[in-house]
Amino acid sequence: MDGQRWLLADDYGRLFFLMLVLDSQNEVEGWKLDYLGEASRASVLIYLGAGMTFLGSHQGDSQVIRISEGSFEIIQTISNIAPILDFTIMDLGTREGENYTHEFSSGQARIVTGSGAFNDGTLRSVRSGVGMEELGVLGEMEHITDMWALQVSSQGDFSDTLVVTFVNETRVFRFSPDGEVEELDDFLGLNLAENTLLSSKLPGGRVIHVTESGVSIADTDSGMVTSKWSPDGQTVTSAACNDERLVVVTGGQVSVTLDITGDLKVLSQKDFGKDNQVSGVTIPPAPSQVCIAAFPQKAQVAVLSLQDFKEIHSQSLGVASEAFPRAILLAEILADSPSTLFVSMADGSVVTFSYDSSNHSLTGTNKLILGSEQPTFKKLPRGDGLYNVFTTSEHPSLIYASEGRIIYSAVNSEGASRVCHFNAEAYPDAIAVATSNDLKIALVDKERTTQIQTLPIEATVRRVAYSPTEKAFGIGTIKRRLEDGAEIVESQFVLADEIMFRKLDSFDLKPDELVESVIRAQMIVGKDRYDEPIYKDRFLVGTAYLDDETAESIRGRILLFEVDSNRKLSLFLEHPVKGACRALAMMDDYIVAALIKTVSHTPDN
Amino acid sequence: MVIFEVTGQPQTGKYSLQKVAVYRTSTAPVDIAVTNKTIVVADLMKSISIVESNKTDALTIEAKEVARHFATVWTTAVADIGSNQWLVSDAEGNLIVLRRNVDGITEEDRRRLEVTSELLLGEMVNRIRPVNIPSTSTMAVTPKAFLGTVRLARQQIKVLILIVYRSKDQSISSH
Repeated sequence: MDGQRWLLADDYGRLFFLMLVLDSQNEVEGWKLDYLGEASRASVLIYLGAGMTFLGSHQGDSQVIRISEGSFEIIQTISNIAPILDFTIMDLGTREGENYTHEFSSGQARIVTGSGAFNDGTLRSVRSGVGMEELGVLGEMEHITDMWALQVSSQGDFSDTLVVTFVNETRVFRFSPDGEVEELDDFLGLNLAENTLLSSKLPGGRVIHVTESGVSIADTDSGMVTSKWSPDGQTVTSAACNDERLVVVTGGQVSVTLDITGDLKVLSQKDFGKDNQVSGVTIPPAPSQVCIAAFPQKAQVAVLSLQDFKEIHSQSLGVASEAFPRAILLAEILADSPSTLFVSMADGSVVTFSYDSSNHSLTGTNKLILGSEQPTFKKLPRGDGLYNVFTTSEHPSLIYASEGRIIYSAVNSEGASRVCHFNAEAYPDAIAVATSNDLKIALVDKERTTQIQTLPIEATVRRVAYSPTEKAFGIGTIKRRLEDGAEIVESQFVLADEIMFRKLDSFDLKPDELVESVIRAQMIVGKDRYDEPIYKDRFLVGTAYLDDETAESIRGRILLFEVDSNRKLSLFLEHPVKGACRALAMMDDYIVAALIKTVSHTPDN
Repeated sequence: MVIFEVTGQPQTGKYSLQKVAVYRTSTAPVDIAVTNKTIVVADLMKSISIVESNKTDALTIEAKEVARHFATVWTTAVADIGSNQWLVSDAEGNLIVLRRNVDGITEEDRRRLEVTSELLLGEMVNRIRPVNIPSTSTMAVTPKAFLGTVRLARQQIKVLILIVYRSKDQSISSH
């Protein structure tokens, strides 16, 4: 720290403060050593001034600490999952893609590592994906088909009303600034007895609401519907709007443009015919002369003029009988670049185009498989006029821009099926998430990060094995501690729970015995009444003796553990072996063990 | 390397291991990987050897070496990546892909594992876990394995798991 004061860190993670006592001639007279506490084992210490120190650790998390009188506090921890002594793959997302960039990184792979050494040893679950954090559950609701956020009476930019629609009805929830939620029986006089196709805020304190029977515009000040329109004897099948224009498709084949700047007024209409139906529409932000529509029978998307629905530009999506576009969405994803058009296909893929608004051209096609069900899209604003697109197929993904490229990444959330941006005063920058049976408020990251969940073990996690049926990890650990100045090394086999990520049970190995290998063994324990084998997961542990006390030829043992119904370990069998059991594997029902014999062993029979 | 069988009676609850076959490596085995009846044994100093186990009769199993890599490699980990190929890492931070030429003309050809590609990763790999992703024909590059490493002397705070790809021309590159 300076010429007189020193910070010392030892191999066991202990921190000491050394103060040199100087006499009147600045010669060292003596010193004082104070124990400050335990931190990660330091590889490097950098004093930053004012008591702040950076503790860089190779084998544990690095930390920023502040030294004070006789102790220190940890200000910041920087995760470090190195060194990885062993790891196991928990599950892989089954993602494939026809993209030209490496697609595998969008998968949901979850890896559990044994990281760090000795006191800094941890079990870490590492997952790469877009994180979602649940903030609260609104209630159990099934089969939500879409949601929109509206602003009726809240301040600033905050939304305060959530419109949630189902197959046969729509429900509206009002959020107060402190997070209280109330369901409204009546909302601006709008029709809530049907499925809603679109609900959006319009300039001038108005709300537009489109159901299959027609369109309504309501005024939030007066709380009443001010203008209505219905198609003649047809149902509305798709709708899209910007601040000035609404495009609806009725009966799947007639598209209508309406002016929504004042009262609803039909501006143009075109019947495409039943052989050229329209499955989805989208419209660029106002002012716009065009809209974009998807035609499943021709397997095309086309840019159409709003005035007369004349085709300005079209692009094929594939073979007409094989490629079925369903929904489309235009979103500004990349900064300083043209917007991107996303087309959701019935086979679970997404086709994208770059849309140039100056010449209305669609260029640069790309195709990506997201799942096997047709994906849905929702724009989530990320600030500065750009958006991320949340898509759901069997699993949810987030499409966002990073370093000038469009990235697709899996979202770490179970079962999100519909979302919408919901920046409420009580939940800033949140989203509403619907699963198949409930509605929640959550926060979603704006891009993929590495999420690490850490279980401190305070021993080196030398080997990791995972049992999906027991939902537990078997880990072989080595702990090192000081007792009366001597270093004691102890090894254990620990059972840890997968979901709560905590220790369930442990088994101590003998003194001077080290764990060398741990594997999961799937073994046949009997046959069921159809004569099919019944499998049970057990853990096989191979060890090595470090001492010379046991009989010369016995250098280790193999242990086989079962997990009982209380989720505790029970030793099924133990077998001494004539070598350190360095590695284990299962071959059908046989155990294959790699044994290392010491040089001075007697030849065995 | 020893192959054991679990024997015992469920009634008494007494079980034990019975040795059924033995295979001796050159120096010391550091890692093994099993696929069906094929065991690949990584030796501390002598790279890998492929051992196949056969039932010679109802009671005996034989472990026979059918191929090996004739070179000095200080192996740290090995994994089976399919199509008679294995990914091997060594203590100097190298990765190699070894292939067994099952269609070799002579017995000698089939006994020698050949190096089809190599890469200096720069980090020592402790563990390789193969990954089975169904590949579509349009993918030029398919991921084959995850590697867990020790980051040497660099204080980086990134995820240290790398993915090895095998491209159509059998070369390896990493991400």
